[in-house]
Amino acid sequence: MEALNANEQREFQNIYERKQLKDFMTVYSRLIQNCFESCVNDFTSKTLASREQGCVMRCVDKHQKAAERVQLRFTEQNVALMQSGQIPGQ
Amino acid sequence: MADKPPVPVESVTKDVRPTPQPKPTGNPVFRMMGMPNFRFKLPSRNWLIFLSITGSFTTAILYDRYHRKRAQQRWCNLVSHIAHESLPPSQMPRRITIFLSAPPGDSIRAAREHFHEYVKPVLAAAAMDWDVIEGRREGDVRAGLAEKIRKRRRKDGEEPLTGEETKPSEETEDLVQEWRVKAGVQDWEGVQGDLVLGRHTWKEYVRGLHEGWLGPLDPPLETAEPSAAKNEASPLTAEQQSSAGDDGSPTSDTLPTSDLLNATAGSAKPPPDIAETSTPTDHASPLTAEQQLSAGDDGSPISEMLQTSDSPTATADSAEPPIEPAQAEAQKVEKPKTPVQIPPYTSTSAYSSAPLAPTTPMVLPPTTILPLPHLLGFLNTPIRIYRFLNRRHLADETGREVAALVLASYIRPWDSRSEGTGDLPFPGDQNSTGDQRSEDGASQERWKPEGVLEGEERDWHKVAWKRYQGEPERVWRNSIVIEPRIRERMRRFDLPGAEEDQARKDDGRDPAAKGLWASVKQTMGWEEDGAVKGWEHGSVGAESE
Repeated sequence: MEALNANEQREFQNIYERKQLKDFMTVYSRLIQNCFESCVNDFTSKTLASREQGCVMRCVDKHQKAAERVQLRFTEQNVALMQSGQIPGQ
Repeated sequence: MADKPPVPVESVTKDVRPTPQPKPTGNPVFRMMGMPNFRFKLPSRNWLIFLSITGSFTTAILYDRYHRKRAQQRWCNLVSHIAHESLPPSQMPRRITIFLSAPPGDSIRAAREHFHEYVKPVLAAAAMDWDVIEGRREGDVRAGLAEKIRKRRRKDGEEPLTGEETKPSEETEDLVQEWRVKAGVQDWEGVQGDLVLGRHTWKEYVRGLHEGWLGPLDPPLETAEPSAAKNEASPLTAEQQSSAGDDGSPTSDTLPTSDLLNATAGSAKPPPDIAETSTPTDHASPLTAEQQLSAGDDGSPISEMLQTSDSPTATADSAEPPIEPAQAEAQKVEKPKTPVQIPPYTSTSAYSSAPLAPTTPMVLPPTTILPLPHLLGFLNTPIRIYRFLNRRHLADETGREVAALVLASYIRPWDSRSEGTGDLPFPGDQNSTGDQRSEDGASQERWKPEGVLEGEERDWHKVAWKRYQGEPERVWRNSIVIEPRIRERMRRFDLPGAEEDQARKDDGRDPAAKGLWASVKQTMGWEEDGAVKGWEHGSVGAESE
C-alpha cells in the first residue's frame, strides 16, 4: 500500500470496493435464489401467501444465523492464529 | 392316383407302428421357441448342500442387518427431536467427551470402527458435538484425562505446591476459549457427560479420574521405580504390535540403551521424565544408543537437557540439546513416533492419604460405559461368527445407553442398581448366563463401578496380562480401586422406563426415508397432487426439504 502513489491508491481502493460489493451481491442473490426456490411455489396469485411468507422469513433467518455462527468460529480461529503464530489444529 | 397310394401306405404304416413318434416333452412354449428342454427337478445332492449352507448363512446375515438397523433407528428416532431445537448463534452446543482406546492386542482402529458403527449414528441423529480422548497404548486415556482435570484445576485457580509460575497457555484451545468469553459466546450450561467405550478404557478412566482429582498438580520429583517410567514408551508398544506375543527382542533391545543412559546421567540426579523423553521407541538400534552415550560423554548436552526440561510434558523435540547436524539427524531418527505418555502422578495405594483437590465439584460429569466386544484369535472363530450374526443385540444395547446419555434426563449415583449389560462379554450372549444373573450373590458386584462390563476381561488378548521386566503401571491388569470420596461424586446416565417404552413401541423406521414405491411414484410423477415428475427435477428430493 505504501509503495503506491496517490493515483494508484485511489485505483486500488476502487477495485477493492468493487470486489467487495460483488462478493456481497453474490451472497445476497444466492440467498434470495435459495429462499425463493424453496418457498415460493404458488403463482396463481400475485401476492405471497401467508405460508410462503412465513417460509421466507424462516429461510432468511436460518441463513443469517448460520452465517453468524460461521463468522464467529472463523474469528476465533483467526484470533488464535494471530496470537499463537501457527495454524491451529496442526 | 387316388387308389394307388393306399397299398404302400398300408405296408409302410404296418412297418412303422412298432416305433411310435416320441411324445413331445417339456413345456410347449419353450419348445416352440426352440429352447432346450427344461425339466424341473431338485439339484444334485452336492448342489443342495452348497446352496443350503450359503443360503442360510446369507439369510442370517441379512436378518441380523435388518434388525440391527431397525434397533438403531429406534433409538435415533427417540433422540432426534433434540436435533430440531434451535440454538442461538452465540451459544455453543452441548459437547460430550468420548474416551476411546485400542483394545488389548489390537490397534485403535477396532475401537474407532465400533464407535462409527454403533455410537455415532445415535449421536449424529441428536446433532451432538463431541471431543475425543484417544489412547493408542495402555495408559494413554489415563494420562489424557488426568491432564485434562489438572488443567481445569489450574484454571479454577489452584496453585501448584512448588510455587511454579502458571504462565498463560499458548494452546489454540485456550486462546479460543479466552476469546469466546470476551466475545460473549456462552458455553453449554447443562450437563455435558462422558462416554467410555469398553472395559479397558473404563479402567483407565477411573484411574485417570483419581489421578486428576487426588493427585498433585505438579509432577512428582522422584519416582518410586525409575525403571518403570523409563520404559513406559517402549516395551508396551512392542507388546501391542506383536499380537502373537513374540516380544523378546524389542525389550532386550531397549533395555541396554536406557541402562547406559542412566549410567551416564546418573550423577546428575535425573528427574523421572528425562529418561522417558530421550528413550527411543521399540526400534532402538545400537547406533542410537551409541549416539546417546557419546552425547552424554561430552557433558554438556545431556546435562543441559536435565536442566532445561523440568515439566513432564516436555517432548523429545523440546528437550533437544544444541548439537551438530550429524547428531541432529540421529536424534531425528530416534524421535519417538508415538507421543510420550505422561507417567502417573499418584499410585493407587496413596489414594486414602491424598487430599482431595479443593476445587473438586460435588458431582463429577456423569458417564456412560458402552460394551466393546472384541475377541481375537483363530480358535475363537465360532464365537466370533456367533457374535457377528447377533450384532443386533449389541446395536440395541449400545443405542439405549447412548440415548440415555443424549437425553440426560436421569442421572443417578453409582451404587443403586439398575438393568444393564452386566457382566456379559457380548450383549447377545444373554441366554447363556442370563438366568443366574439376578439370583447370583456376586451379581451385586456388577452394578458397582468396579464390576461394570467385567465379562469383557475374559475376551482380552493375553498381552493385557503378560508381565515383563521394567513395565510401567499396568492399568488394565490391575483391579479398579475407587476412593470413597470420588465414588460418591461419580454419576451415571440411565434411561427412565417411560422413554424406553416409547422407544420399544417405535417400529424403527426412518421417518424421512420413503419406501421404494413412494420414490417410484415421485420419479414417475404419479402422485395425486400432480407434482413435477422426479426425473424432471434432476436429483430426486435432494433439495426439496
